[in-house]
Amino acid sequence: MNSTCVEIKVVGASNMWVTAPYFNCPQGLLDVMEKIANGAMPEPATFAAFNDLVRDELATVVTESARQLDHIWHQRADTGCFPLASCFIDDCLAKGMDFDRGGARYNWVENSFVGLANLVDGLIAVKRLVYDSEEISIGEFRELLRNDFEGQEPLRLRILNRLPSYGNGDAEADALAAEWAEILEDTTESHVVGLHTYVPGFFCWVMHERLGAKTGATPDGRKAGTALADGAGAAQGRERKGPTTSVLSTTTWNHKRALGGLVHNVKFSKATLRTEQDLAALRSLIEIYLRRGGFEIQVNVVNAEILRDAQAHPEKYADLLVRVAGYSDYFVHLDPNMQAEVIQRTEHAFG
Amino acid sequence: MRLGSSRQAKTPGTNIKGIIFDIKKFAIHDGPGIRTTVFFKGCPLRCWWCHNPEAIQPGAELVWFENKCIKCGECIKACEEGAHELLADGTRVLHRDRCTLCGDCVEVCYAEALVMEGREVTVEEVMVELRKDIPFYENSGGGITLSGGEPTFQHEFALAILRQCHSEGLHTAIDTTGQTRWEIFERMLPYTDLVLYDLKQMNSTSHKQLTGVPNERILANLARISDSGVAIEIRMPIIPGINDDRDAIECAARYLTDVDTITRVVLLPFHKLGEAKYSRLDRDAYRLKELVPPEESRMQEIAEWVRHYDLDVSVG
Repeated sequence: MNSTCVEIKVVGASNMWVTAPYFNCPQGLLDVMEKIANGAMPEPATFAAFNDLVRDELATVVTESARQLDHIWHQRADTGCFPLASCFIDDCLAKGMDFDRGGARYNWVENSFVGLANLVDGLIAVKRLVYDSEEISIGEFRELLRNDFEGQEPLRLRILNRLPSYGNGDAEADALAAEWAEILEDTTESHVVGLHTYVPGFFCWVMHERLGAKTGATPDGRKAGTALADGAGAAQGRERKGPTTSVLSTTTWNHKRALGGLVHNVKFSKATLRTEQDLAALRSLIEIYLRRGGFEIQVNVVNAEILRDAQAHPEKYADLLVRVAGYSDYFVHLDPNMQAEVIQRTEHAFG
Repeated sequence: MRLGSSRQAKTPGTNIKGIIFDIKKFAIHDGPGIRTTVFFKGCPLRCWWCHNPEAIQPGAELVWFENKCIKCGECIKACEEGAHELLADGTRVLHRDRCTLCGDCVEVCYAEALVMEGREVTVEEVMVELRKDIPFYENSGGGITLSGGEPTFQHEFALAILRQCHSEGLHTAIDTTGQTRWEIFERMLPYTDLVLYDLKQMNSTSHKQLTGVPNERILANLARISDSGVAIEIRMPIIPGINDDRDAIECAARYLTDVDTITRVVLLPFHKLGEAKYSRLDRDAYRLKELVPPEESRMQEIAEWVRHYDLDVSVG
């Protein structure tokens, strides 16, 4: 068993295609709000009904992708094929079948859901502001997002600082994340792609940044054009209760079905990992994450001050490696948005 | 006993209330393993170098983070006492003499520029938070720590938490200045696995000058805690030019060789991370503004002096 990147793969026995495609989770929420705002859909009477509409919206997107992929994979089975590579994959030789025709023991096409935390936190904002306190309509909320919260900073800060958010041990937010992970997994697994199983994943590579750049403001208080959540845990800067709490939150849902991979990010400043005692605590944190069924945890050890200095003086930091999302890269090679985002990821100070 | 196995059984006093200002998870410098530290309000000492000035007053306090203010004006509208004012020149003023600590401004300050330090909680409410990290305590040999402020300042509350934690099999530590009546320690020690004990200055006259209280009672309590058999970790703040001369350090180390249950001595280098808090609380100016934190090499030099007395010493 090995992992090529973030996803799990049985070495020498798998035919796997990853990140097919990357889905933008909060975009589904925005699209539903848009349809309600322009009258294409009636405003649902309850939050549960609203949540169902978002589920249907994302399910439609996933189904459409699966249909296109199915077509491509059938074509590949007809006209593609990798005879040499197939010689090295169990059980292609035994079956006398190319892996593009289903010869491998494991045949998976995996997708990636990006921005789970933005979707969940955004749904909670809609629930609280539209359905619980009834202080704003969906249409008004959509308008406010279109204006990127212009003139609405107090409301945006209220959403960020006062409403529950995923990753902080809040039962409502964590349960909604679990519900949504399951919805996205069920939707994926209900499809086949050619001869392959369609398998869910929550891996985002650099796509949280790229998709975020094209995504308008979202109801979770995220401004237009900024990165989506960079992994399967809390959105950047929204983790307030420390790394033990965020580990418990991320592992409230079952990662086993997400074989396409998922990452929980933690970032520690260098100064916090000085003594044997510090390292033992970090090891324990990782162990508990894994024992609770965590898929992958990614540890960044830097301090924000160093990173800011590296932004200003890239020549001094040619060798500074940071883990980005399932891979490491040289900090100075990242574009400024990405650098800002690495800095922004909650920097934990050990107590 | 498996940790948390008897969590349903309540010990007396779980409805007692106390005032805390923080519960910090993943605390790894407040005793062994991964811990959760509860910060109590109230402290009888007034140390010059105090980095938690928000812990000193027993009651709640309004903290004002000027840099976070977005000038939305909601606090001005919310305050019936007129404690918040925006002057014509754009300056924001907080009139603490008018503030009744009602918290109405904090409620509407979504930017979190206004924060109330200190909230009343029951023992059970604290326990709910402490239980959440049980998997981490079990895995790392950690537990809970009561700190502050001075936990014995609210001793009935502290005692009730310690007793409940012990009944649930959680390892307990208290982080104390030692400045309290012996009877209070005597009641708490049966439910305490480790005492983190501050030793700031051996000379009582200097101690009074630097902290506001003499140290006779502190030293007497230290000896009695040791006699009771509870493990002690000594914490010595190292304040350059104030308590770090070789004679003072060696005098302390010599004294500690007679305290039997010491597991180790941790030297805490002076730092100024708390300095900004003074103005946020409108406290008198931070006394040690000009003082430079000690270099690592200096800390290691001091550690060597202590190590010479066969004490297990580390720099925290």
